Amino acid sequence: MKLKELESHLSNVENFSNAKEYLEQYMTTPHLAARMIYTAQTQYDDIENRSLIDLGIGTGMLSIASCLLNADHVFGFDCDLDALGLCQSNIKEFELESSIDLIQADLRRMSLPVDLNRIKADTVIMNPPFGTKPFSTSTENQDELCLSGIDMHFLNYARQLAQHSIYSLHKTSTRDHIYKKAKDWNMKIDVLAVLQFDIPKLEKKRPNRKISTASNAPLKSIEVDFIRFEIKDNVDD
Amino acid sequence: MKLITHNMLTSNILKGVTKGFPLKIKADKVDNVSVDYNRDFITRIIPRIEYDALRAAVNDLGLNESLPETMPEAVQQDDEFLKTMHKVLLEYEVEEGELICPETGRKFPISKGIPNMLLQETEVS
Repeated sequence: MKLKELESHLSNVENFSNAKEYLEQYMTTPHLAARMIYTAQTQYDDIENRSLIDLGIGTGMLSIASCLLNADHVFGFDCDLDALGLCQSNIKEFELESSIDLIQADLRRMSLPVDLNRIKADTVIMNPPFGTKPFSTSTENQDELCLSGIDMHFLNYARQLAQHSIYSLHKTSTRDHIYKKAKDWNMKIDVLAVLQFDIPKLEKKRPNRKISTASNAPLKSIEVDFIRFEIKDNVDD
Repeated sequence: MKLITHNMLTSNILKGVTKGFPLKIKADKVDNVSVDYNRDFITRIIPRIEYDALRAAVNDLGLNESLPETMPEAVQQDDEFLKTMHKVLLEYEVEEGELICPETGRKFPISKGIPNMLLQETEVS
């Protein structure tokens, strides 16, 4: 399948109607998702005939893109039931029920309900929350909020789950830190592209942040790195 | 939830639980869906399957599928076995029910096909 064709299919993935700000729910656009997954397949052969895990699956955009490029199977995790419901309806729309399974689990915690000693996916795909302030500032109800550095929590799970490689998005402004972490975790890191990502514009001092974003909220563009991590222990696979 | 997914889930995220595997399944509604047989995929996924746990799941669901007590040695050549594995791993969808921690009895509900593995703060190890 050609890149344009993939992107065109993905335009049928339905977006959040009421995205939850505190979970940093913003959809990976068809444009970005198509480029991410197409690159992972054509440059690195990491999608077709591979088992995948999608952390923070959201609308299902990345997983659906992967299945359109013939991934074997995807396990998708998300903590939010509304997102999982939307994802399920998107999966149904694409008739991919047999290829994607969903699990509700909270990735903001330090453990995943998965046997990490055994099952590993070949490839982990994710568009993690970026830990963008002001969500990350502590409040009385921390459990409801994303944490500062949440993308590093996701990356830490991903490296335990992926047998071979991880595809992820991280804010370009945090690149030095990510390089350092990748080194600590013995992963090869390649920034494949710098992309523009539109996220809802936030009011900095709103007292109640547990509010949702309407799909027509004003957007601001931030720079994100599209990164491929490779697990070094398995480089010879 | 397909049995391929059940096969990877554990409750060892609960405080005090060491293995938490396999989770027992109490199924209230199971759908049987037909999925195209992909021999290569099944061959690739089999080394990642905990076979005894899969047999336990088949038993929990009361499925009329005959999985031998141990995995055949020449799996690649055993088309009948591969087809059964395909069916068991992918064609049964537990829509409603619960997963039960083998050590504590903690129940994780399955609703609309999605297992809910969320925990309370006090339960986290």
